[in-house]
Amino acid sequence: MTPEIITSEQILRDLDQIPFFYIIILLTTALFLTSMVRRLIPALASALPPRFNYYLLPLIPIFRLLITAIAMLMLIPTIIRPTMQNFIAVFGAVGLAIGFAFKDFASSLIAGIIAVYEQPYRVGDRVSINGIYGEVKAINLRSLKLVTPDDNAVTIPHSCIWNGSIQNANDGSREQQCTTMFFLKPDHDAGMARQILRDVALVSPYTQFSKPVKISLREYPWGTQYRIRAYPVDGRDEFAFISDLTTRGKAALTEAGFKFASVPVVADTDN
Amino acid sequence: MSAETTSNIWKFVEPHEFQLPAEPASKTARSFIYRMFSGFSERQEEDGAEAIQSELKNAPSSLVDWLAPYPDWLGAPEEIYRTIEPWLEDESPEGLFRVFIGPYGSGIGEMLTLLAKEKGWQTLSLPSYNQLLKSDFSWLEKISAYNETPLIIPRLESVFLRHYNGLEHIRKLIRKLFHGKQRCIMGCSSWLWQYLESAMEMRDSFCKHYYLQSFSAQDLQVFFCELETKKTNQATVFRQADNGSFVLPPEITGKGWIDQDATVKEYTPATFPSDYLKKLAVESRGIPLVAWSIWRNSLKLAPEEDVADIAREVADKDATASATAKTIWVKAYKDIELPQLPSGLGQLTAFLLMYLLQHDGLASPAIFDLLDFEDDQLIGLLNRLQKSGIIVNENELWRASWQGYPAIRRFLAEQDHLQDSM
Repeated sequence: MTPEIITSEQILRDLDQIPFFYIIILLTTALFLTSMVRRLIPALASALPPRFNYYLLPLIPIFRLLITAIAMLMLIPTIIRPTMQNFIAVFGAVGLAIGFAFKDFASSLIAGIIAVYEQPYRVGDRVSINGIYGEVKAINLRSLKLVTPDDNAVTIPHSCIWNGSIQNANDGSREQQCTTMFFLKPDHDAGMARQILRDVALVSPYTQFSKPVKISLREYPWGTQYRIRAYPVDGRDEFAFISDLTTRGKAALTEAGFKFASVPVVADTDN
Repeated sequence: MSAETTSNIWKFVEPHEFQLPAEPASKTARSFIYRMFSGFSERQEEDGAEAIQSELKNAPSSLVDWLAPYPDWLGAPEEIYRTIEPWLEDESPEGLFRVFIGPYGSGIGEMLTLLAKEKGWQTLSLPSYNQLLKSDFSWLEKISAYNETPLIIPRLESVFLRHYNGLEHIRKLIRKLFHGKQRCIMGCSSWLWQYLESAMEMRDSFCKHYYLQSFSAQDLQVFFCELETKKTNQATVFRQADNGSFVLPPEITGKGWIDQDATVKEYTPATFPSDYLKKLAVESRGIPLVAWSIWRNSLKLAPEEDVADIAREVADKDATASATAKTIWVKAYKDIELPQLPSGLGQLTAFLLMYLLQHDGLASPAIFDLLDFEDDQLIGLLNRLQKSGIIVNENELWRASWQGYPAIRRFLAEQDHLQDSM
């Protein structure tokens, strides 16, 4: 039995059989829909109360993936003769090419699909990946975009999920606990300092009162550490909230006569 | 005036008894659909009545002051007294505090001030803003440890400052009163009350508290009729501009001068309270000053009326009998333009409005002290909100406008900020 030889003519349809107009319409429609998803969902989220952001924005990558997958499924049979042998041959060849030439790209693409399913991060989450902390602004097919507290945009490929750890501070919810620290010289009235810091948290306009406000202390040889743990109304205000508590806390403690602890700088005498 | 209309409209209830004016379910669904398709329905309703409405003239403020003067809160102090009478007579009462809570624009402070005046009770001398800001507690020394008559604090907001030095004043006041033997009656806005309850968990410190029951449409009818009859003897009828129906019963506002049968026959007999008042009760959440302010905004005059003449006639206390009543047109509720928040406002707006409600108004320096934002930002925002009618500046005090309150409340709810329960 002689093996069947597959030629390119047998895999691809004849040129006169390929509906180019249909393909152009299909690709244009897919691009248009993807672009609409990218614009409409954020627009809808901004028109609705902020709490809806956490439900709507994570839908963007899911819709985009769906649109791309459907477009591909509709496109392939128009170019390739729809036989099992052809599909195996094409996907094998594409897989091999991707495997060698675009290994990292493919890895990120597949990780992106896994990320959509597992959701280690969603749009609006505040995550720390490879030591970079920021808010997830967009999830694309290959990468995600973070914006750091310093307003730097950082693009990280999805392949980071294979072997790196991802810390998600709010995990899809609006709430986020924020910690603000103060260090005072050890010799002071701790009860009073604690009450002042509690009031500082209670008067901040950012504070959410459905969550607890906690003040914890820790003693060190050089001073006492105070931590205000509280939640802002909107977790995205994390840094504004911490800055507000820090400003108010410093003013209140200074006014009440507390001294802030400082660690003296020790000169390196070895060199 | 009928027996029904002379009943006391001021009621103080326990929190679990409090009810907001209800809108029938069918109406709620209709208004939802109306909002959804407001673009289409506006076009459909542009008929003759709309055109006539647009020709109506604004009633001059002097006339509006005669038709709907600022409430004098009569009846409310008596009702407060009646509510606490058993407690006052009890020799070993349960707790020394009674708190009366009302929403923004309820006039609770005025009611308690009036009560103190009527009964000759002592009112708390209020601390200055600087005392509250600088941890100066000397004002508390004026509170006596024992007095047979109760101490009245008309507005708890006067001793509250949402500042790290401000909360301690409230704590010390409660502590002082708790350790003393004098009974204390306080008034508190629902916004501050919610803050004290949520942030400071102080509800139980105040023992028992009562809510001012919101006005129903029937209560609003009595309220407006009483206001109208206070300053003028001139027979007046209030008719809705788009369909001519009576908004207030003509037999009351006509004061017996008008030929009631002829007037009523001329137009379709209306049922009272009117649809306008039912809608107003729901939209204003039954809050006296909010409803009163919207009511004043709705009063219009016919295009052919001489504004000066009608103002003079209505203001004439010694009006002679007249068979023809003066007609005041009331804009249909759907056509009233209430202040709306400008678009694109951020969180700073929510903070500012929240602070204004919790303090029942703030002076400019206090706003800059309490909200830790750039002065330029705050000045711009204050001007913008004032221009849109959401806030007003009266006697150097910024406060939420009565008519802007429904929009403010909706905005704060959308932003997920702390809400009052009234």
